[in-house]
Amino acid sequence: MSPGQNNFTKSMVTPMLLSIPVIVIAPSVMQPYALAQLSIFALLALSLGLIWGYGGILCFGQGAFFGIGAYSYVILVTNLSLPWTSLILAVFCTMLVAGCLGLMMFYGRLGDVYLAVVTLVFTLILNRFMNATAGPEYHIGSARLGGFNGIPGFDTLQLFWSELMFIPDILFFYICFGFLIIAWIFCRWLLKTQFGRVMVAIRENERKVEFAGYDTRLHKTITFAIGGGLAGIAGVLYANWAGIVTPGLFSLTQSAEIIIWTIVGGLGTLIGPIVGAVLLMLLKLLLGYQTVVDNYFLLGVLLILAVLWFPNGIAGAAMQLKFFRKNTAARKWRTHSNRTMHTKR
Amino acid sequence: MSNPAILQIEDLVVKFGGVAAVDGVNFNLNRNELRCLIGPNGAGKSTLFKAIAGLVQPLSGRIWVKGEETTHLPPHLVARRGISVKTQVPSLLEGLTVYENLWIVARRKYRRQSCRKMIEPIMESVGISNDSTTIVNTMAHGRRQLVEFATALVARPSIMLLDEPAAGLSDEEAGDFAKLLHTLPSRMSLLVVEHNMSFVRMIAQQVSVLHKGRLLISGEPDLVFRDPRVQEVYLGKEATA
Repeated sequence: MSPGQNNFTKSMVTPMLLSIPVIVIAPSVMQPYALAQLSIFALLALSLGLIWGYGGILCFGQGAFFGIGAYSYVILVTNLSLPWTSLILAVFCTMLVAGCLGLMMFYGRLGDVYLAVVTLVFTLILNRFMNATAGPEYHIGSARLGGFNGIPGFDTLQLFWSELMFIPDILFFYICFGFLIIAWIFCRWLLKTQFGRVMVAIRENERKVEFAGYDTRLHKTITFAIGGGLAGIAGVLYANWAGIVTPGLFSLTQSAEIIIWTIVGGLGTLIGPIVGAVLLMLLKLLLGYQTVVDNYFLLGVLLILAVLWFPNGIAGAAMQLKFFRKNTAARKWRTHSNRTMHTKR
Repeated sequence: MSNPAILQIEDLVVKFGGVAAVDGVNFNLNRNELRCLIGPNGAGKSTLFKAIAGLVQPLSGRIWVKGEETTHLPPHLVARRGISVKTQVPSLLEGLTVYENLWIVARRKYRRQSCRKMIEPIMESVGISNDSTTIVNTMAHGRRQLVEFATALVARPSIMLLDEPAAGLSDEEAGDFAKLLHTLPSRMSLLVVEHNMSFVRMIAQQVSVLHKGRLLISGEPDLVFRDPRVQEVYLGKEATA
């Protein structure tokens, strides 16, 4: 079988199988409202897992794209009053911003460290700017930006077949979870395509890939835009979940948390960031009931311990267990994408 | 009559700060030629090599590949003009297998269905067929050199640039590599930067000597090695005595 044949079908198997027990069991264990939040953050972590774990692009600005997605949706829906159309346009806007930023960074030949700094500064600028937009002169169409108060009271997503002005919690969870599963399948499929394989190759050795005749700057820009788009979807869903968007979405804390989820979950896997986000958010929810120790202090300690003891993250550690290990010790070097590349010959 | 030169370099100058690493080099590589570029440390060999590959931008001068100017093209566009590069320290996709390394290169040029047909004969000829599923960062240096050479070959280039291919190889391995170079398709031109003189003697049809960024002499190996200027600047005065 040639590479690529039935790739999409195969990409669907694991996410679909894993999603069944979640759909059946999770609503009876947790509130759908919390489950929706977990799904949104898992999608956000997946976006960074793709561009960092597979594209090798460490982005401190994933929180910025999350915020841009949320704000774009709110501004568009306030002006258009078309929630689903606004969702699509907001994701497109986020991809466009990420693509433009990527163009400047990658065609400007920024090194890894500078790239991290630029994305960090980008987040800070947006945070400062949005905080300073409280005056009535700051509006886009009929949407006032609201400064540090954010934008409350906008149309949220609605069901096509219902007269309700909002989606019930349980259905909203299913929608968020559905987006997560679709994004996961999309990433799995992407990594099996030629583009995905080149993306992984660039992570391994960019110069070598250039010598092979690929425009690595273009590949990285597209990868970055895709990651931005996924974060944008998470942002739109978050806006619908919270019912308000504030400059806090662009905070450094938000961006740092995404990085922690990804590292703890397992860089270089797709399931890792999802698991990391879910577990750490659950931990945060549990810790929220106590006031003895600061949550972020504990998250920081956890990150240090994870890096020291499980450098490959939860998913990486699980893959090294004998139960999961099928081939050789060398497998630990490999990623999902790498494995499929060879087995498909 | 068609131009026999597949690679032409005209008055090429590359400067780093105020220092001219390559200083007005004129140079031709003919079709089907295997030319070695030698010179003492700091002569500008690697800089010239990088300028041809598009890795450094020359201050002035021009480079043509198959009659098309490539002077200021980025590396991926130079590669698309038919130039393959093998670096001194093997530059590979470290976490991937040997096959995957070759696949990435082959896939850019060939249809998905043809890749395997392109890759397998090359792995066979280079002698790495048994390493197909080996992760390259677990391989010994000599084997890695062969893998990188195979990745350069799989693109079926018109010109191959080899930067010190014998570096880090034992005498036996270097001998085997020299034999391998002689088995290459005759349509391919090779430019080899090399320090190992016995290796140069084994492979070179033509030799060019660089010294202080300038081309000192070009010609057949015996003629070049006998030249007193070459013996003075490259081998040292003591060696000529």
